[in-house]
Amino acid sequence: MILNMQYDTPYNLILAVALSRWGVGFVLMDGKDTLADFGLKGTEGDKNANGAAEIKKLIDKYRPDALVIEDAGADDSRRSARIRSLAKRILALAGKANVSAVSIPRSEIRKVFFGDGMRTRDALAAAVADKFPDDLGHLLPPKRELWAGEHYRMAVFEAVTAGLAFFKISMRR
Amino acid sequence: MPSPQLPHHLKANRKRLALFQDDVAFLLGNQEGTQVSRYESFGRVPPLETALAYEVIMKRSTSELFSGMYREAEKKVAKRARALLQQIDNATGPQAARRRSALADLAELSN
Repeated sequence: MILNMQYDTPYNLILAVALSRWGVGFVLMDGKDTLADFGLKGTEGDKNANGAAEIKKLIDKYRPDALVIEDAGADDSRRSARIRSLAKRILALAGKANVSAVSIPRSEIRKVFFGDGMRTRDALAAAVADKFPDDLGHLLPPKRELWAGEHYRMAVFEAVTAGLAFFKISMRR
Repeated sequence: MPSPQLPHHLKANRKRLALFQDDVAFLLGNQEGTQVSRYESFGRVPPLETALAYEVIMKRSTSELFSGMYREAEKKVAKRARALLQQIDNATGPQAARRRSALADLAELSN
């Protein structure tokens, strides 16, 4: 589902966020080829309130053209109730700040990178590290073992995949 | 291709090198991490000497690091060059032709 999006507007400064159990991964893209800022805002205590507050700070600081986030409410999404609620909250925050809010289903994001969409997060992260080797190569999380949880840095890579997917989808139209 | 919107990309370049603000402050000389923070958050524009030190530290050209500011400067220069082109007389000779050519090149910059 894509919300409040005007494809004829030349979006350039994009804040893409990815939500995880560790906090909120984010990337600020100044055009599709430049990462202007990226990182993970760790959250403790009331994770949703603190995560939303961190995103609000980023929106206020950078005033992006659009905020991009994975569609946690999509039919095929398996995100937890907490993450769905935080995603809604962040979309509302963007709306309040007059920033276009765009949510893209995970399946769409994967299709943008791999036509069949049937790849793992590790493969997506590796594709992102390939595109930005200088910026992100040294941050690529080790490949997840079956018994291991997700690496905390994966949220940063997920944010970048969402941002790149946004640029690719909007350029197709 | 749209122009960069941010004045510079100092923060992302620092993160690329995994440097702390205090590291950059030390490398810039006589500066504190808070000053680097001000530069990164667009609160202050680094002076030329600092910008050149950034170029050395980040191993990126100043125009690349400060791409948004560079684009703005380019647009303004192009606009002035177009204005100057309209003002200059139609003098002939190699010097005048060279001057006109230089201005015409500048006028085309932001197109």
